[in-house]
Amino acid sequence: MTRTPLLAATLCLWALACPARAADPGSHAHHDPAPEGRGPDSRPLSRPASRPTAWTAAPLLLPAAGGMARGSARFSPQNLVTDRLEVFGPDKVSEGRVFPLEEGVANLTAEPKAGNYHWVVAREQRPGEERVATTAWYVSNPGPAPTQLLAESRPGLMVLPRLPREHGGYREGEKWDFLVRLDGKPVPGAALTLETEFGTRTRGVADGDGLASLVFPRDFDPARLAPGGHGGRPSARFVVAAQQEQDGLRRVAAFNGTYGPEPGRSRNLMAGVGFLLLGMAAAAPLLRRKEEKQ
Amino acid sequence: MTVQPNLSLSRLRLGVQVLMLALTVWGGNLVGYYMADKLSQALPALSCAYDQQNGGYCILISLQHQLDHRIGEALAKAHHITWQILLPLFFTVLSFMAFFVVLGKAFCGWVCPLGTLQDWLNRLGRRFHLPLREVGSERLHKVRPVKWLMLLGLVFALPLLTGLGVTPHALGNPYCDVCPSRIATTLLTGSPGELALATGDGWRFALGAIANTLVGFILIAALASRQPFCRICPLLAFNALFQRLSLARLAKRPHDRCEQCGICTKACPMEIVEIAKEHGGKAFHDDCTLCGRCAEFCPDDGVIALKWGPWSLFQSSRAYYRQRVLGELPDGTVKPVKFQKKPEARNAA
Repeated sequence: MTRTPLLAATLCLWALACPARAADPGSHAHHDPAPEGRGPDSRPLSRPASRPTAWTAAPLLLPAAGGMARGSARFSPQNLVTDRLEVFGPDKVSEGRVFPLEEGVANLTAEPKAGNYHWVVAREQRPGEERVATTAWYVSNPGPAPTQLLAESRPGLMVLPRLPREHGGYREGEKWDFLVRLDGKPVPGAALTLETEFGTRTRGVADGDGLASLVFPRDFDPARLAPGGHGGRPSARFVVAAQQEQDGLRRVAAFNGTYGPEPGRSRNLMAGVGFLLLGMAAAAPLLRRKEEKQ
Repeated sequence: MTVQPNLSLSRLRLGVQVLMLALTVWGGNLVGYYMADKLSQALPALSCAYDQQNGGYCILISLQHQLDHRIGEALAKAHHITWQILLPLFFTVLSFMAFFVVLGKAFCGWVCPLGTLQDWLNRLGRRFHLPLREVGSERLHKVRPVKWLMLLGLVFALPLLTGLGVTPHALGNPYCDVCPSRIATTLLTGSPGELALATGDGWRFALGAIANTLVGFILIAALASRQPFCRICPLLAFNALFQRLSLARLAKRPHDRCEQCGICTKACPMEIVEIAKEHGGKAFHDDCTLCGRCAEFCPDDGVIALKWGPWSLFQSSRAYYRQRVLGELPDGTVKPVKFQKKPEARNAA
């Protein structure tokens, strides 16, 4: 007797959600885009780096086409001239491994059990200017957390992020902290700029501890992105850059990664609540007292 | 261990459950933010990895991902299954075993956050005298295999088939997609994100709809039925695979009155009839969560015991039973609190 209304309610909820499903091409919101080199479900991104980088003048480190596999990656610096990349693992935070560029691309390899997040740095020294591009390369690798990796004092200007946990990621509308340091010391009052592939710019100023909170803009346009190779999850690039001038030397430092659309774009909370209530309604007869009937 | 009536085994368990719920739902603030800081990625409890504040991950998500992304994909590319591919799976199982050898099935009865929530909801139901629904011995035999089907189908088969490219990518971690702990624990952190259904993919939408319906059903059903989800939980089945290897176990010796008594089965939240009818290894059933209620409510000395290796942590005693039933019946029904006037007050009147 109670099954018919429940079935009807199920069909209604399904029908309610169908237009949203048709309208929203976003999918797979469980695992979100994160730093460069990390793909959904901890798999490396295989998207070619040939996507134009005209959206920013900040130095970038982008994954290069062809050849990202578990434990290895290809990175290419953009808006910066260098002949090598340095990679720091969470197991040896102060000992960088140097990888030369061959035809503009460095082939990186990670040591086993060296940990997940690796810090990749490219530097360009030119008269009166120093440019640093950094990104976090995610390797599916057991090992230490990146806490010490990010806390390690490194020369020059650096923009250091808080990196997402597994199953998390940078997403539209979220506020994340970025730390600006010069020679390992925080830079209070440093100006930061967050730029996204969709052309949005957000500015922030570091507090007394060198920390600035930046909100990822709600500018995501999944239609402009080709589907990824792993469930079609959309992602877009961003860069957070800081500048500083001292004694005639201009320093530019940037951290780049990827971010994803906010879950609400590809999820329907009302449908979720509807099915929750449906389940509750299905269990409600269990609460009826038999004694009262008699 | 001698447990005073004021500190009954149930109260001790309640205290442990409170601590473990805090650790498994919000413990990331204590043990560390990043995945590598977690207690483990192979906990034998439904400590959900989608909860961004938790202190450890359930083993089922690691298993599904390794079967999908490593083993399934290696097979699909016609690679040989090498030690390098199997190594993460080996380490996951090894980490799991390190925990499991110590506490065994007690992870279900004392640590699992979803088990704790169901337990508390049922206590609430007993407190408000809601009817108690039992599965019953006939239906129990039909329900018991479901957890094995969940384990084989959702944790092992579908992720492997997805890695092989047979089933769609959306079925890469199907158990997590239907797991009620994913929704319940993330809601406890104040995040409704997991409650919202993914709308871009029919499979994901369907799995999410099942999960939401299931969690809604469980939240209400737990008021009237004890541990409704545990009965079909694949982690209970997974833990049952290894339960003989753990130092923590339930021990029962034969006793003349067991066949007629059956109070232990009434006290058992999983309605395990074997605890009353069998002894030795058969009494420690696959469904046992080592909650210890059977030992608490056994009215005979030393018949049922919770043991860790050669040591008896708690064993049944008549004196304990008499004290215990003063406040609560074996089926969890709470006796009403009686208010009595103090003798002095009566004399003064």
